[in-house]
Amino acid sequence: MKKFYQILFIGTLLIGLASCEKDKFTDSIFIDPVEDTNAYTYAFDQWLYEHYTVPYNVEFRYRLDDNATDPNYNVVPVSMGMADTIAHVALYLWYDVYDSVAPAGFLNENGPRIIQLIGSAMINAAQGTEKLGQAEGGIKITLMKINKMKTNDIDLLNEYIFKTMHHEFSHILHQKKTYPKEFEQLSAADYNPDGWQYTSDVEAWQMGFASPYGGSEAREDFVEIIANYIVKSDKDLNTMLTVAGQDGKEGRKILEQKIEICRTWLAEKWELDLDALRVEVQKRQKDMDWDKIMNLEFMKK
Amino acid sequence: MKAKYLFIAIALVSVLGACSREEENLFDKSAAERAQYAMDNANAVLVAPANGWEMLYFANPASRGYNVLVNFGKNGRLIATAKNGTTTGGVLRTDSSSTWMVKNDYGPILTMDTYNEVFHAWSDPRDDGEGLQGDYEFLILHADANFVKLKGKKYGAYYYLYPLEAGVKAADYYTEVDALQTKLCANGNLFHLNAGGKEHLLYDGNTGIFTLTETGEIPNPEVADIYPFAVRRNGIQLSFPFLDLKDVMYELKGDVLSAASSTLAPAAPVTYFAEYIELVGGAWTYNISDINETTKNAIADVNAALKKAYSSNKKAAVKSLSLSAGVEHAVLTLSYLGNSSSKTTDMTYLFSFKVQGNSLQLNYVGPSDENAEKVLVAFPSLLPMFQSLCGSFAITTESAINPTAGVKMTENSNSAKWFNLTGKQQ
Repeated sequence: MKKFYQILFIGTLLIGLASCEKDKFTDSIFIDPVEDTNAYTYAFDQWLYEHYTVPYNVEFRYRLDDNATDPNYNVVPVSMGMADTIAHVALYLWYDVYDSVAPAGFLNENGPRIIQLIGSAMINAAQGTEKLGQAEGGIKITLMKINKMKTNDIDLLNEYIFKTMHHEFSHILHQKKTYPKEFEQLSAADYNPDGWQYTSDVEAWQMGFASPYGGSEAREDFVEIIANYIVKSDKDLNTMLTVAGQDGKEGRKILEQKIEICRTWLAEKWELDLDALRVEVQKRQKDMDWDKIMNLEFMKK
Repeated sequence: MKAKYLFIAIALVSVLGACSREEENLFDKSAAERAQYAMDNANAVLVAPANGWEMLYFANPASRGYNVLVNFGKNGRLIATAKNGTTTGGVLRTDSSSTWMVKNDYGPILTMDTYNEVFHAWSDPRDDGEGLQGDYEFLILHADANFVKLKGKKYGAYYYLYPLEAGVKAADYYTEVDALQTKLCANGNLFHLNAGGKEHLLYDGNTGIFTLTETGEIPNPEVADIYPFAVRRNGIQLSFPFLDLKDVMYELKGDVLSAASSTLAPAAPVTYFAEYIELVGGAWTYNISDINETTKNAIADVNAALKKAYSSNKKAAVKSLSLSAGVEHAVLTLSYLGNSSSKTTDMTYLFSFKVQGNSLQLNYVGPSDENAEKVLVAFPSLLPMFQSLCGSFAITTESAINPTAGVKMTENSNSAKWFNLTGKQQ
């Protein structure tokens, strides 16, 4: 009798298992993306594919998917015209710079996988702040407030675009390889996450921050040092360092220590020469010729 | 024996468990197939009209409606045309080009995913981070050749699209819309909602937003029951229905805006006359250049007295008479040129004001303050002029759908005593 139940048990178990095999999945009913040469965006998409996806393994997103944004903020998409402009200038002042200065394949390996453009900033009116960019998980960089750009205003471009590019890319780098602990100690007592926006540039410099936002927290401080060092003109950099040391303030000393830490970290961890990056960016910022940029003439050298 | 029950239990669990994942098909297609079908259908519907769509866009559930003409190109290009004070500076903008697509996200979603100058100004966060809270991603709730209904994904306003007839040009479309807007809404016209015998009062105020109250009640702005609308070429489109009704489109038929289960129309003339000044805060202005002989002569007497008193000003004269609501009485505002040849002086006089059946009773009470009394003493001919305005009047309208365009008051006992008045929101 016992054997009968054993056979019954094994039999029903086999039937049960066999019935599990019947889950069949048909081919996906979704159509694979088709390269539509008639699409309104085809030419631009193709250009992005050729200049970003193929050489750098990055998807340059200019069309906005609300799901990809923070629902707590209201934002608008970027215009196609500004997307085109930024796609070109990002090559000029970011990707091509690293191609010139960094080890071969550096951005292909370490650059973001996604660049997302957003037309407006993320504005927090209650705190009086606006977010101009963000880096997420070492793979995505979002550049914001793009629609407000004026191509003839280099200061505006520097503040909102160029600096943000280097700022966010530096986040990507330290998200992959953490920055030295000693950096955090230099201004540990002065970080003010909730009140940095009430600090002036001069106050920030004299505390040893490259910008008020740098005083918000250590990781922002770290990338602000790098970004400001790269994009600030000689004159502006000297002004910052000079003012930082006035009135007996320690700001200059701290800033120079921070720059040195960043310089060493980039060299040792990434084989990147911060000063060479700065020289190349400064040269390009001085020589900005929009016709040449839009025709990619800088890449034809 | 225990082992026997254990084997049977395990066997039953195995068999039943194997069956438990098989769900009965409630639909003839899978969820993914249905989602794809909905997207394909929406795509096909949106690109079909050769002349594009008339879209009634409500920036948010508390925003007035705007008319936008949109063309969804098969190639993913969106061309939008609009004329409004918010996104186009009041001029016709016809060349705003960007992109669109239908994507799947808990159902088909229409997204306008690159910046379009006609549309996205409603969505721009501006300096306060909020802006006008206009959506640019929409749930597609309904899509067929006759209309498309959308819901804003973030702020939840409802939008309607209707195919634009072939051959209709944008400029002509907006000319027609503007004309009907003026006809229906000029001067802060107000309507009654008639639905199954229940009547409510609506206020417009030229804001593109109706405020609903019980008849006779003045709305409280802090708890106002509001209904945004847009004027189309043939009537009024709501974003969502009044109360528990289902009507969202009221077509102008004769002098009534009609929908399936309700209508919108101004009150009868006498009632309207009173509501307009009492509830909306409007004013009725007498046409003093086209007025009955008695009042005309009375005004002439006043003018003569004014010219005599202000001899250095050849323009001294009565310039206007208008009737508005006061605390207890109606207020007649007398505007006249005295010392100044360009700046009028206003004095106010009180009138009793009462609706009786189809008649309006108007009687002079007296000056509203000391200054008005001094002027009355200085110019006694004012009194006969005021008295000539009194009586029991019947009222007829030039435009039943918007009586503010012009009403005629005629004394019941003397048809030679008549006044033409127009309404104006103050």
